[in-house]
Amino acid sequence: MSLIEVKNITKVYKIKPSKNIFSLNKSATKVNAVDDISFKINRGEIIGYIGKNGAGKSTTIKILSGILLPTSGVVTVDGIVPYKNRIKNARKIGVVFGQRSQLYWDLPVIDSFCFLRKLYQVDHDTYQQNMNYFDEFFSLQDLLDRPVRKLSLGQRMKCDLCAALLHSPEILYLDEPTIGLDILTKNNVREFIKKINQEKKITVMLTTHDIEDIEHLSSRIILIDQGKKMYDGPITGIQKHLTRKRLIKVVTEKPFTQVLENIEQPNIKECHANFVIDLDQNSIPNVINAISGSNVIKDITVQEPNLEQILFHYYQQIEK
Amino acid sequence: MFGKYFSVLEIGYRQSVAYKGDFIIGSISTLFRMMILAYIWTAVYQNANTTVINGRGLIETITYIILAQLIWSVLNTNLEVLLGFKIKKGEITRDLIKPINFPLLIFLDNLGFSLFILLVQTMPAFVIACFMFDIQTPASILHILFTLLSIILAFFIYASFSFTIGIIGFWAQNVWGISLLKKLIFNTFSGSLVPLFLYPPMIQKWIYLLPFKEIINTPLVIYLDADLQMILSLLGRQLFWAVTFFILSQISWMYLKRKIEILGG
Repeated sequence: MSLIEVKNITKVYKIKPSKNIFSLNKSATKVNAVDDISFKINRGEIIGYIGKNGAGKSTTIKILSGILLPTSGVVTVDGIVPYKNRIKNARKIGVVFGQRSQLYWDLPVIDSFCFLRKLYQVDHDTYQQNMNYFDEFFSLQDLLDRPVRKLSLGQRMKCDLCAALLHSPEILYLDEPTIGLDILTKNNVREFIKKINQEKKITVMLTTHDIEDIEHLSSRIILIDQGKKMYDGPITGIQKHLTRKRLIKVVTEKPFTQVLENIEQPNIKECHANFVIDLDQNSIPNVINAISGSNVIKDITVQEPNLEQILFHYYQQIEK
Repeated sequence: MFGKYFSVLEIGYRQSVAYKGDFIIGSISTLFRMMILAYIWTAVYQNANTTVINGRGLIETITYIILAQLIWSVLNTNLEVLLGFKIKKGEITRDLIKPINFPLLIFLDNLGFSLFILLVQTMPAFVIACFMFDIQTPASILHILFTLLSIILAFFIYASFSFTIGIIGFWAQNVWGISLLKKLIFNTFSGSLVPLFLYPPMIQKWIYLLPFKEIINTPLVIYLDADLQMILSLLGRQLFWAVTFFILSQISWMYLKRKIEILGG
């Protein structure tokens, strides 16, 4: 049986026009933040949950952690319905909202940790073990006595991650954990997530806009847009699923003046030209032939677009 | 089991201690309020023709005033503002992912804050005031115990009331204004500023029907001289209001919970 099962959940927000005694039109507009989404997550997986801003990612995380009630549909997390049994569910999960800290702003980090230890009733040995484990990776010792307000964003994020893991949860929900972090810290955080997933068998579900997070961490992604699930499967699958495009970079001897058929976004700077071609409409040899007919090719590279480019392309398509 | 609840109280206390400078200022301002009010009433009594006004002598009035300041500064936390802030800024989500009942969390956090105020801020001011003015000693140990019980009930009434007010403020989209109004009403009708027995009898009659006097006047009447029968009837009334406001706070919490579950954090 899967650890997390989501069946046909829908979440409708009613947005009322701003409260004003003079406004006569009181009809509320309905927005489907999550629209009939289903998926299953097995123990030990790392799921990348991606989509544009406002696609419904955070709403899903909030439903899974028991804060929000879905309008319809059923969710079970390890046999518990989170929004019906919030407190029991809360013991099994750790949540990090990247843009919001759960540490106490004015207090030294260690105070928040002690508070959480008592709140979750973590026994002394487990606490020590976990702290040593975190310390080994992040060298927390120097940070613990500092007030949270004096930490840098990266330091705070590390502490927040540890705080969410203090009670050894089975599931970790991460809502944009790498937002605003520098490249080194980002890498550090990613490695840590990978490590706890492998060594502690913690199931991780993370939302992010940073495609590298996904490429580093998860083998499976769920992509949603406007509340609807668009894709669920391995990363390699999305490339075939969504696009059959190739990026061709050509360097020619003479300045490039040719007009080629069936090619979008030609980006030409004198002797350098970049094309995106669709393999269903065109083929690479055709393009090469067309160019070499009137020009001499000095260098050519063909690239499979990376995930970021695919998503960019994909989001653009939806907008149209 | 209790460790879980105690930890919330402790973190409330610790958050207050974080700014150590505050307590000296708070302590001095509490002392000044006690002094100003005590001097005003001393002057009134000295210039009156009688030594007893509305049945109370000077010492009783001073005792009332100083103890009222003590209780008021401990009770008067910004629970509703904090609650409104949590809802508005979405900080409530971080509390809702924790394995604890939310109203209880707010209540205990607030209690931790009040304990801090009592121990660090108000007690020193009170001790100094005791040396400066004649204060009536309690009639018996039983009176002290009943007064303490009454103060605990008062805390509970005030916290439940503030919680409800906080949610009403959220609904009306103006926590700050409603909080100000709440404090004004309590200052007028609870006895925190003017002893209630000094009001004209006609107004007193109305005030006694309202719940506001329960948080200051009731514990102080018990302290000053009430006999056992009166104490029990006063505590009974307090209990009635405590239950009423507890129910109101639970209803408003259920409203808020539904709102959050439906509208999002």
